[in-house]
Amino acid sequence: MFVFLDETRQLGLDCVAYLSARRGIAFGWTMLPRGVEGGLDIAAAGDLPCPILHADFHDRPDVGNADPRQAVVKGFVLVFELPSAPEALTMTLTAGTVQLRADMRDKRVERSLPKGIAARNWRLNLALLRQAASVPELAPLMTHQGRPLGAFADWLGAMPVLRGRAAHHGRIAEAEALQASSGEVLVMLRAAMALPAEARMDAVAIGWVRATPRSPAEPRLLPFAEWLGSRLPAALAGYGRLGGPLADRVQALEIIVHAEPEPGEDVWLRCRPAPATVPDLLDAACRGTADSLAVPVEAAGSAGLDLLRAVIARREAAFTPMLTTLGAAPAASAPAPRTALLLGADDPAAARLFHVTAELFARHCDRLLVIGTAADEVAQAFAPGSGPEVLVGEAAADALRAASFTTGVLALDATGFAEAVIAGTPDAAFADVLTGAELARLLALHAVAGCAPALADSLRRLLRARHGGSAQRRFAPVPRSWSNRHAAAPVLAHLERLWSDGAAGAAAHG
Amino acid sequence: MAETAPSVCILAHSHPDFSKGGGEMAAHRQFLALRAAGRRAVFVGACETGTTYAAQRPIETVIAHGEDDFVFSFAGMAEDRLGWDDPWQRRMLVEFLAGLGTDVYHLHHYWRVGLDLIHDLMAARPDARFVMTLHEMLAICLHHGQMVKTRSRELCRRESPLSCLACFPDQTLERFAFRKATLLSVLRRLDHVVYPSAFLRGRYEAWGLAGRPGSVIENFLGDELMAEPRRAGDPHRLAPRFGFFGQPTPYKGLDVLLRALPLALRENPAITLTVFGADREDVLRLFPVLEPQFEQAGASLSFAGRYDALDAVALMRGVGWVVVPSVWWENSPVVIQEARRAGTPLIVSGIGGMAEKAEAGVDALHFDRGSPVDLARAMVEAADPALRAQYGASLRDVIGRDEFLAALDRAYATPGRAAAPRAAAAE
Repeated sequence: MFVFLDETRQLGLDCVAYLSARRGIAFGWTMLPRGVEGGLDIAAAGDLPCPILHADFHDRPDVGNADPRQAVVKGFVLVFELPSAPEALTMTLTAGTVQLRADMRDKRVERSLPKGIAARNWRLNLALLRQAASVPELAPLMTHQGRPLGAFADWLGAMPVLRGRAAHHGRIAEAEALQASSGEVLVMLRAAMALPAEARMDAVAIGWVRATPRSPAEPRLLPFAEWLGSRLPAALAGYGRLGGPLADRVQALEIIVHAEPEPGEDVWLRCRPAPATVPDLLDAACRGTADSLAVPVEAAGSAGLDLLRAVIARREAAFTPMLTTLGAAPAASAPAPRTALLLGADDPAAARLFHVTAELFARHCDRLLVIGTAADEVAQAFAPGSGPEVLVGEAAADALRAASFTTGVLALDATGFAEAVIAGTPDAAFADVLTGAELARLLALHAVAGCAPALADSLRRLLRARHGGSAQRRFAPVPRSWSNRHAAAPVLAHLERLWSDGAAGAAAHG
Repeated sequence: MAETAPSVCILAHSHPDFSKGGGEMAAHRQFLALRAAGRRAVFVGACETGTTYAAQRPIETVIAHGEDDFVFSFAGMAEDRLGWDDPWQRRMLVEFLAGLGTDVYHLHHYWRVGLDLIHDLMAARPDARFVMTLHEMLAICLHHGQMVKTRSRELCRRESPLSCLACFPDQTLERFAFRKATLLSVLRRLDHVVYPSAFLRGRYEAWGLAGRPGSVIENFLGDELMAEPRRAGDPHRLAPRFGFFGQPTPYKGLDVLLRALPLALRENPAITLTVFGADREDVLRLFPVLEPQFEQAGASLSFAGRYDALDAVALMRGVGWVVVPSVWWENSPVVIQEARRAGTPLIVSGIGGMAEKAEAGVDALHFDRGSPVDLARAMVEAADPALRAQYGASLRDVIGRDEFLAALDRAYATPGRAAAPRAAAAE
């Protein structure tokens, strides 16, 4: 609905809705003669003013403007106070000496906030989504009507979803989104042809976060501690690292991506990144478009390697100080912990071994944290009441976090335990004590330099470093097939540096 | 002796009323021998029939099958039959076994019994002694315990994770470790291990049971076969007569023998071979390429079909030599015991349990495993009546009941090193 006075004075109302019982929100646009200052006011019945609490003005290229030299169009988002049960609601645009009034209760004005947002220009919505996280008056948008994603639900519901990796996504030959447990994400949009210099990519992250350990996960906009959007000869790349206090409480992550492979061409994706190890994530940064889809683009490989080096540099700048600090943390001289951490419980075949050795565990620990893809089956091998308390899943993860920096754990690897039993020295498997500081370092290393999804692999690397010789020889290379063979050397050298940072201090304490 | 002798529960992987394998036969013969000696003995055997039935209709886990003779369904076991998927059924069986109250649990095999069951039974009866007869090498080798490489059929001399991975590339090193650790964790807690052959003992000790109490006790053939007459026979008549006894499976080496026969016939046309345990058609189905050898052998080759195990000794007395040409190790082949009981000397592959149980120069002639040429050489040599007479005289008989029971008593009396930790674990 819009009110027309002449070719240079108009007022448009797209949506008017309640944000809460005493607050409203309105989207629309104004057209004013160039050089004329305008003002917007809202009043209820009896000219009772409704104070405007937040106002945002932005371009509205979608609104027709007959002569941009004479008139200026601006979009607006207003949050305003409402009296109790207002009988009328009017918006007034003051353009110099002229006033335009619009009935905000007009039936042609959209009253459903999710529908109103879904009908808006998606670029404006992306900006509004960001503001919802930073402007307190707009915060209720994310929880509107108690729906997940609130007022943005309809809009995001209409957005194409990318799960992990997909080919032929519109004009994108291949789209891929990866997420590492370090809070890093990588979005790669690989084109089938060269991209112009103006091509760009933008993104925001929505994390499903538990406010408290037992509460349901709710969507929150998460800030990127850093974002590196890059144009490669035939791809758009986005590397981001989540920051802020919520980053380590994320249950699931979505990346809303807006890309412009050509000026004026929009690609929107609601990405649900696939979990990836750090080597997977880094390798993907320099992977070219699938051969079958690609038109060969000169120097695409080198550009990918340049991106890889840039990402590595940012990672080292972000993570090295933290790892060095953890390595230097003093070891507590506490008695051996009575909590054991059993890693690598990935094979149901292991359960039988733990059934016949459960009494041994009871001698060494009061509580056992079992982590691995077959943790449930392994946990069942320990009969309740006769052995240690066994925790799996989130409870185990919570207990592990609680033990870091505090009591520490006895760390066992399922395969290592089996080998100790075979050697006839099963008690030796309980000899590796990780102090609280070492456990914290292990968790940090697994997150930022883990070479395999399982924490057991990182534990083996940590213990190898503890028992091994020089730092360089301590790092075992990652067996994998690299999509770009030139990626192996920089990635492995980078991981080796991370595993070595602070290792000397940790070894001295160990 | 009978008043002080311990009561024994014999827990076996099968029951001879339902399956005629060497292990279950030996287990049940031990049960009968103990009873015949006035000892208290209970037999509990896994039962395939009951297990199959359990898949269709409800059935008790343990069923009485005779006086102190029981069978159990292993329907609740995992596919590899080394553990139980159904802890409820395992517990029922453990409660039944513990409730027997015997002084000794003598297990024959862990397969179809379950390592977890053995562990639970040890916890339920910390005061009892646990003895196990290891009849084969399933713990050591995933290839049906044969220690023969899956691809090349080469003999395997030592278990190692990477060698096992070469045979089973779809497995993982971790899974091999879990399996071996589970087996060793339980087997090392046994108070005594009985090996039917020194060969088996050597393999198990190299694998991880070194230092554990154990002894080599030959399987007892049973009172019925021990009552059979033992005759050396007429060497002139019997010397050129050879017999093969058993199922014609690929690892029994019948194909080697059938290739050797025409070669031996070229040297001595009087030689004959009778195959007991299979028809001509059975053998041709398994080894179709051997049809030319059948033709060359002509009337010198005959097939006697299936036979009852209790008739084996009598049948063996009708041939001059029993040939055991297996291409795998064999552990303690009952056919060798039966031949020795019959008084018929042997020709055997010179490896493993065969070489041990049929001693060269005393009980048998040895030939190179898998070599038809060398087997033909041995057959020609054996067809000499003088040699047959010599071996008929030197051939050893098998272990008798008294000697067998005395050896068991020593095994049951062994103070087990595992007893202390097992009791502590049960506290």
